[in-house]
Amino acid sequence: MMTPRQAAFRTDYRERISPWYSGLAHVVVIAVLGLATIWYCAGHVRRPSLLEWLVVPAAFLACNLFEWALHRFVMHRPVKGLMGIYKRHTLAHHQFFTDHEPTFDTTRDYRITFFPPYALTTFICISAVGGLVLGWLWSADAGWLLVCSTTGVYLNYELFHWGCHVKDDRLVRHIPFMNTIRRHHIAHHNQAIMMEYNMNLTYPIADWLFGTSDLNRGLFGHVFNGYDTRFRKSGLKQARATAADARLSAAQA
Amino acid sequence: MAAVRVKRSLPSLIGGIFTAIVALVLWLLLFGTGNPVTIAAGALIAVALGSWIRLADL
Repeated sequence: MMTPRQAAFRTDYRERISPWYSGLAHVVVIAVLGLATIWYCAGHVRRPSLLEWLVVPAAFLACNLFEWALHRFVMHRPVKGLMGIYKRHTLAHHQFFTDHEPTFDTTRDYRITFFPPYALTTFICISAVGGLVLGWLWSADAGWLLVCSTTGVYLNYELFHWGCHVKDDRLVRHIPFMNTIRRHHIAHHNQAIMMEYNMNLTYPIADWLFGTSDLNRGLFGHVFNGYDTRFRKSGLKQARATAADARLSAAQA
Repeated sequence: MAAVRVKRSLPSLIGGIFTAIVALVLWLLLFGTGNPVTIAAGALIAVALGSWIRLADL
């Protein structure tokens, strides 16, 4: 059930979306840029050794920690020089989507669901620097595999985040990992706990590691939790109706 | 209902230019620099992409 405050925010936000915006084009741009990068880098991988292949799980885990840290310390904290990210995420994304109504209505709502394409290109460039350094210090195959892995995780992130906010969950609720992160992320949209809990957006590994998950169970249980709510920690903060909600309700009565 | 005028943000300008450059570099890496038509096509796509990011205020 959407609160009057959330409904008002959504109306205002949608009115300000540029008529040039297309949700489908947004998705296509992200997918094409990401897949083209993976295609190019994968084409340069020759004969990696077993040790070089270990770059893939290492990058996966590093990205999981990076995703957690970026979400916790940048997207939910007003950091000087990165205020745009904070405003876009905490002050917009979390007003548009709450745990009461966490889903989008049309593809135009993709504007506030997906990151802008320049987030991906920035991430690719940072990864490419890491890949160059790794290639120079160790092996070219390791460098190419690093960029493939990080870009793959980024696309994984966007897909899973879409799965968290899609209205019809008939399919998502049965897909392992995706169903886990959907419950995990929707719980994060509870404004009472959003600053502290459930910061992972792909696999809740770092949340388990740092104790910032709303669940009280082991790593395996965390990753394969699905929609299960039996293991939620007791004593988590509860959201209260805000003064703005009270005013809007009174005005509508 | 009066239409709301969209005030575009600075990140969409910088991000549009940056993404266009990255897209062009990626295009040239994938399709090579031997054919001027290929280069021109890549430049056209990159400019279109960057312009769209700005116009759509992403």
